[in-house]
Amino acid sequence: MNITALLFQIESANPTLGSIEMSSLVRAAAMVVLGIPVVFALSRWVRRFGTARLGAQVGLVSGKLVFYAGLVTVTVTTMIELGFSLTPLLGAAGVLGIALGFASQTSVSNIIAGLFVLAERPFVVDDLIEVDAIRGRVLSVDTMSVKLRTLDNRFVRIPNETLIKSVVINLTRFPIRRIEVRIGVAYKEDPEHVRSVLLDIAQANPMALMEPEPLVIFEGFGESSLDLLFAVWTTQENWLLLKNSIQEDVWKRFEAEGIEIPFPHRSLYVGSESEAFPIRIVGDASSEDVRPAD
Amino acid sequence: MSDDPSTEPRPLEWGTATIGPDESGPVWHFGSLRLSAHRPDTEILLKSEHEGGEIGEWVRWHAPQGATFSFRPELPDRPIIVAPERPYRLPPRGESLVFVGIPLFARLSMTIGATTQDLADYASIVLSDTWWGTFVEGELAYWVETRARRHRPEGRIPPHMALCPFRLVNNSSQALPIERFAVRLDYLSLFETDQGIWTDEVHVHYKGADEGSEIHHTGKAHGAAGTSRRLASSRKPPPKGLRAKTFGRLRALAGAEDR
Repeated sequence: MNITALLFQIESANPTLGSIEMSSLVRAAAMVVLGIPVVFALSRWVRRFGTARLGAQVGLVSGKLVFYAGLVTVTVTTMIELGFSLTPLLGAAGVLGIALGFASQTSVSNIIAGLFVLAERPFVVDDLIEVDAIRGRVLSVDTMSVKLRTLDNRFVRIPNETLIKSVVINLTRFPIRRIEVRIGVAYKEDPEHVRSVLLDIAQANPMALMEPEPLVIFEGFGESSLDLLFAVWTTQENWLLLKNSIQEDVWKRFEAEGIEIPFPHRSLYVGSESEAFPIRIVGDASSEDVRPAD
Repeated sequence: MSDDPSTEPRPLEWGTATIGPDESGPVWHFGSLRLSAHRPDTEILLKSEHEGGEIGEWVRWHAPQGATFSFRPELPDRPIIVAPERPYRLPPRGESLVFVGIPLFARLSMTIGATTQDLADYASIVLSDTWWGTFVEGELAYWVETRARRHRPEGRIPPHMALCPFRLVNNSSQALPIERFAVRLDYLSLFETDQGIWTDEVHVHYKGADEGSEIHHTGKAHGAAGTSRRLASSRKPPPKGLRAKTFGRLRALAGAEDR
């Protein structure tokens, strides 16, 4: 005897299990047996489709939404089939909903903020971002929060609500990035000569891009030095390597050229026109002891 | 450098390379490149350095007995950015032919039986990185110090260079400033002639600032090259309807734009 015939017989005889008719029980069982795998399959398909078209984060969230919606649908349909009245349930759900609503304001806010983050895409997985002075690589963009791995390998969870309200700096969004080195040289140095040396250093470094062109900007006359800004562009991959090597190159070349990077200078004067205080080093055999005046 | 003739750098030649176990040689020169190799037991050791550059280190490869080695010329693995001797403007419907010297790479391959594996590429000169595009997107390219010339250089082409005839056609309605342009090398073949190595001719049709340029490759050496023999095929077959950003302005990417 096949299944169809068996089901027909059950339907015709219509036995009951308590107050639930056997036919309803069978239909409910069929909904669960068939519905749950369909929900799983559908959510997996949505996740794959979303990942392929819109990215891993969108795929993950869409898959989860479809899964939970499908689960709720199967559950409600099964309960209706079994004869449960949902009216009292809906009533209770309404009251529960209000209570949960107050309790879950933050969670819902994070979920909604997460949808905005997914839509705007200010960053993707593996980007290096900075949020409120926390810098790290994006590990995942989830429904409620974003997870980062800091450069010293700490795990940071940032709620999406915080993210939406904060300034987010994406350090790796664009393929090239500029390195800025602030250099002070002694007042006796010729700024033109120093500029020429710095540009030569940039040209000689293989990681420094020829375009955008390296720049030397005369920022101003500092307290103890002529202040220059030396800016060089490189690719994201080489940024850290160039930051180290270009500064080492500057030091070596300045040493070779005799260009002085001065320490802060201070001169002490008494009154407005007098000479600076005389200074004598005490403590060696050739100098007299300095005695305070009586 | 010792007085031993076996350690004197000799010109790198295409084809099979004889490498012995002796650590003192051979040493090849190719442009500013100095390449040393020797072959103890089942290894091959290679050291490359450029004149005036940092001293290279030995790199070891496993090389079973019976393996043979060869060199062949290759074009750089990225586009090169070239400036003309003097910037000029091409009027609408105008056409000009320039000759671009492209520094070659030497590719070392190892053959074992019927299988050939590429081991390493060596640049004949040190090439500087540059960016071709905007601050937001673009591609990494090489900056070439040699200039694109309006007239074919006289004499023999240096053995570490290939000459590329680049025909520029302005199909737009506005004058085209020729200040610098990109030469994409994936679709170029190499030809050996009596004068040296040539690539096939590139025709670039400029359609306007927003439309990019159409690029065609002739697949054969320029007529002025004389009799030629194909030395290497292009890395990729030239697609039909290739369009790419080819022309750029000086200071289009001035690093000071935001100060």
